[in-house]
Amino acid sequence: MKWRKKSQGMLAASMAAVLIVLAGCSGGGSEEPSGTGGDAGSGSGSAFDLWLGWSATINNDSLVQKYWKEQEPGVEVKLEATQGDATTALNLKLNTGGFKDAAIFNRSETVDNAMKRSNKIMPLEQYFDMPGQYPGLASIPKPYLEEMKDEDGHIWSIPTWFDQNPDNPWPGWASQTWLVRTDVLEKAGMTLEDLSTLEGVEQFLAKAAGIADDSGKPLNPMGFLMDPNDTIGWNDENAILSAFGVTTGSAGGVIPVSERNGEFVLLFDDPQYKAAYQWINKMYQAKLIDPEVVTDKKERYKEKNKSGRTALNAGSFFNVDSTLWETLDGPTEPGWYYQVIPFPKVDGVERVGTNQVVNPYPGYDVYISKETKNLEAILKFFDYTLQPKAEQQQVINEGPAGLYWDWVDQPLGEWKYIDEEYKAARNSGDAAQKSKVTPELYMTSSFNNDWYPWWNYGESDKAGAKRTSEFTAQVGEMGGVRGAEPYDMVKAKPGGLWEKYGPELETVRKEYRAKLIMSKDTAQFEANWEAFRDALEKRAHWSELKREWRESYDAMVGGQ
Amino acid sequence: MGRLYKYRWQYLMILPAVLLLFLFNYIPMAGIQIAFRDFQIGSSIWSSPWVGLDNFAFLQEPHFWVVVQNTLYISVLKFVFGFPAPILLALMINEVMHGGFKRFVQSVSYLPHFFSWIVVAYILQSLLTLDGGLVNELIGKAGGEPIFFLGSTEWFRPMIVASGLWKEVGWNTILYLAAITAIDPQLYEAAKVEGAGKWAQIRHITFPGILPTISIVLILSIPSLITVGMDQIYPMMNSANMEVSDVLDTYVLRSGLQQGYFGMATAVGLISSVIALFLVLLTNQTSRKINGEGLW
Amino acid sequence: MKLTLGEKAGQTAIVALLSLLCLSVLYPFLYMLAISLNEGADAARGGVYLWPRSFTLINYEIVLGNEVIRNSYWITIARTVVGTVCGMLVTLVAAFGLSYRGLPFRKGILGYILITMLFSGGLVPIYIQLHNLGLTNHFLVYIIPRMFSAWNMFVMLKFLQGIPEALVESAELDGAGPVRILFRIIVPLSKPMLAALGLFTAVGHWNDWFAGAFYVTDQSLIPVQTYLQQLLNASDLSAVMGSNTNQEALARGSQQNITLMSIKMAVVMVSALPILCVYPFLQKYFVKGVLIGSVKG
Repeated sequence: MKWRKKSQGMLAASMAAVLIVLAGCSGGGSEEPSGTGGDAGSGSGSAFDLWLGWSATINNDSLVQKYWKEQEPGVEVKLEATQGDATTALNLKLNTGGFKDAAIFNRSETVDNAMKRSNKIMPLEQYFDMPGQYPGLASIPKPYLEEMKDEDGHIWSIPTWFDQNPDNPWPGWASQTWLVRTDVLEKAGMTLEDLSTLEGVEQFLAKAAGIADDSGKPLNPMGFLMDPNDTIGWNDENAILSAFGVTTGSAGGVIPVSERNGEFVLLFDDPQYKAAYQWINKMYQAKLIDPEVVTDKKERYKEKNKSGRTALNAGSFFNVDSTLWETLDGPTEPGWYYQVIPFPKVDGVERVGTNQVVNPYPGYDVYISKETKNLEAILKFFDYTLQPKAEQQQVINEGPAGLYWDWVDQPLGEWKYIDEEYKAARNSGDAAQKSKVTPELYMTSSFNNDWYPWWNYGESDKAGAKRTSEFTAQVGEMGGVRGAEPYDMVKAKPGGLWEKYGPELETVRKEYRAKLIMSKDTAQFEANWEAFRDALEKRAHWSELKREWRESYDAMVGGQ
Repeated sequence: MGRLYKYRWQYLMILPAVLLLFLFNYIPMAGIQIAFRDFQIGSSIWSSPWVGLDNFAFLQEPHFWVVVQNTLYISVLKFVFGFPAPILLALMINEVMHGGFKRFVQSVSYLPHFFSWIVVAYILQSLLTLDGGLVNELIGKAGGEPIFFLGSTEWFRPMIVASGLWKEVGWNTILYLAAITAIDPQLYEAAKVEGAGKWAQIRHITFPGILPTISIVLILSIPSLITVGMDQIYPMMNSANMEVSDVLDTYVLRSGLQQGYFGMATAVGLISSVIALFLVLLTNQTSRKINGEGLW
Repeated sequence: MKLTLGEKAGQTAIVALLSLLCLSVLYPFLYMLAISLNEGADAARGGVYLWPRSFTLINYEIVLGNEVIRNSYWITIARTVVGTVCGMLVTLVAAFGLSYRGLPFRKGILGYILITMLFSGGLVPIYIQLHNLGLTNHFLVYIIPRMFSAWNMFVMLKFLQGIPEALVESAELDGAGPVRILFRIIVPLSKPMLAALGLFTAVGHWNDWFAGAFYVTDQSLIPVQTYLQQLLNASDLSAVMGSNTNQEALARGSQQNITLMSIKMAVVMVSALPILCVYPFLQKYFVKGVLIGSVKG
């Protein structure tokens, strides 16, 4: 019967499929022809599993990992990543036996508490005090370790991605700024000096509204990104808030805080916060801001900038984004004309608001499982990555000097790739290609103000390539960057109100910033502002949050 | 006992299903108790302390009810438009006389089902943008003012309903088309002999013929009324339309899961399930009374 | 063959409406195809509507040109084939067994099944159970938990109830057992329904990215959709603690050519096209008249 033949056919096909898959599976799962056997942890102290707390494409045969296995430090690192949400994956893992050897995560209260609560990790404080055996670990600046100690003096993770010199910290990328298209500036008959005050900027925007872009459409005078994924401490409006003197930066704290006359003012209570949004609203009403600021996602924003539709951008130049000039050799595209300008002077504002707090403290934590059989391998590896050399992060990321990259003329000077195949795969933009050469584990190392790889990249195939580092140097001098103070570092109490209402606070901020900006007139703005304050209290329990902040701050400072 | 033996083959056939459901649905269902425990990431379910109804505290947050309203509004709208549409479409496709065109329509109409919402949202945004999007260009040519679709709270729901319809209507016709082909053609022959025109045939043969299918799909789609696809909403959500685009799933994700508050997420799920159960039984009874077709 | 005027008008209206629908569907599809075949930077300038302006296969090269995706295709195809065959089998026999109205405890079993459609313990208990059964990080995690589909079963049940009882009874009189009846009589009569539900099951397997994201960590076991979901989410950097690390990640990301919307379009094409080709093959099952002559005699 026909159906029999059909189902026989299907049966055969599925059998074949099952066989193929099983055959593939029996190879131990991962592609490792030159394997030390498909199993990790043969107990010889030379291999361990590292679970990455973010999604990544893994290739355990990458060139850099091979170097680690065969040369230095002689440890095979087998990576595993989660394809879905990392916190959920962590929860799942912790509920079913935990991870095998080690796991590295972005520093996070949620993750930290989860790890400690699960009772599946081991305390590590003794290993930071063995300079003979683990010099790298012993070189971790003591303040970081002190801060991590719990009541019993235990330290539950190896901190990584910190500044080797907390007293002379690397300022990091400073990208929150105002950028102007100098070609439009010229057409408007104005100069960069004219933009030094807010009134000057307003004049420029008014003029820009009458200028057309290459395809004849009138320009959007001002634009910035309001990505629904941004956060309090990281969003483009902060560049505008900085001009108004509002502190928007933080160093791992729950909320940006400024100190005024000995008082702590939390972000939303700052009167200048309202003033800044009033100005944005004024510009919006006058049609001097792209009406779609409130809805554009990253792609659209970037496309508009790329096709030259915007005259002035505020926010992080990484959002604009930096490839707009990095890929250019000359004025072939509008992106060539972008220049960063100092924060315009606002009447009555004495100091630019801090939008970036230099935080030398560790950004990542490595947790080690209680049940691991490869402790030696783990410690050996991180001892290697944490060697206090300025170029170590580069060595970890791309291999040692002389292998795939080398100095242009002297150590700690400029550098470039010397292996063409490596470079091609590395810069292909494709995750799978890149993972073939390096897993990019720079964060297992540390950084140093003496030398930062991407500010010393010696290859200048395109004239615009160096601009980004020039910009960041300029922006760093504009007054929005300062060092960390204790009040920048107040974290959320485990199980407390900030943990509970934090997300709702964020939602309120996002909902109302749009309303404030889009208000049709002053009356509506005031109404929206009142509604905002109301929602802060009702939905996010603002007064209670402030109280808890103060308590946590006092506890933190008192304890020191 | 004799009856059980008489049906032994049938029981054997049902056995794998029962076993699978037991292993993969009923055993994990014990986890519903998380709704009543203080389960934090890192601790085990069994050792978490009982906290009674603490996890249900969200019921007192006013914003929760706003979110519920948003969700219901959208899902009811989607249902009202989205349920009849595939039926009508299936009937229309069935009436097409040209075989080639019929097959063409069938094969093409369900294409959007396969597009990821991330990409569909992007296309939708490109069409609706103020900055030269097709729709606003047409409005302009017709003499109207451009409409800020993407930033408006009034247009959000129509956008979601329309795009949801466009994406799924073709796919949802498949089952109805299958049902239509299962109708005995002799019924049509007899009707033609008695002089019934096309319209009468549809009314008296086709539609009643697929009524069982319609009923079952209706009842089975009740559980999904409570949730509104996150996949669709999330890419279209932005600061401007947040007050109507914040739905249950995004709320639970934000205030529950991302903070590790699984207790709250499970509690929400439990309430939704209970409501869904109630609605399913209600719909089942109603359907039985109206046309004798129920779930079983 | 002659149509009345009314019927002609009706026909025209229907064809017009359907053509409109097809157009509204084809246009975005062609748009995506065009963008995916167009050079990324050029596409970003706008103006590409129906065909590529600067044709290139680079987007497809990037998406397809690595072992990860090739391997994941095998996984997807394997799980779709095996999962559909097994799933349809298990669900069909259960539906058939339950179609006997005289079956003792029938209502109870149906209730048992219905509850599972409404109540769930959530991700964590499910994961724990999968882990305890040894299914995590194993190919069978894609197959076994999904073998029985309650939704499909209820639909099948409905269809089965539409088959004339006279057929079944006469076969029983001839001495056929339930298995025989199922495969010799029921299945041939249920082709449209089986084709439709088979398609649903297959597409469900093909599109599932969740299992590969949370139940599996072994890179060589992830299906295409899980891999592609990552690519689609690529430029959404979720909030990272501390501005240093955030900007660090952004800065390093921008050192290479960022994947653009064109890549995402190529991703959609790559993930959808294979399964789209299946439906035309199934169309022959949507054939009228399966019941002709079955009741006679």
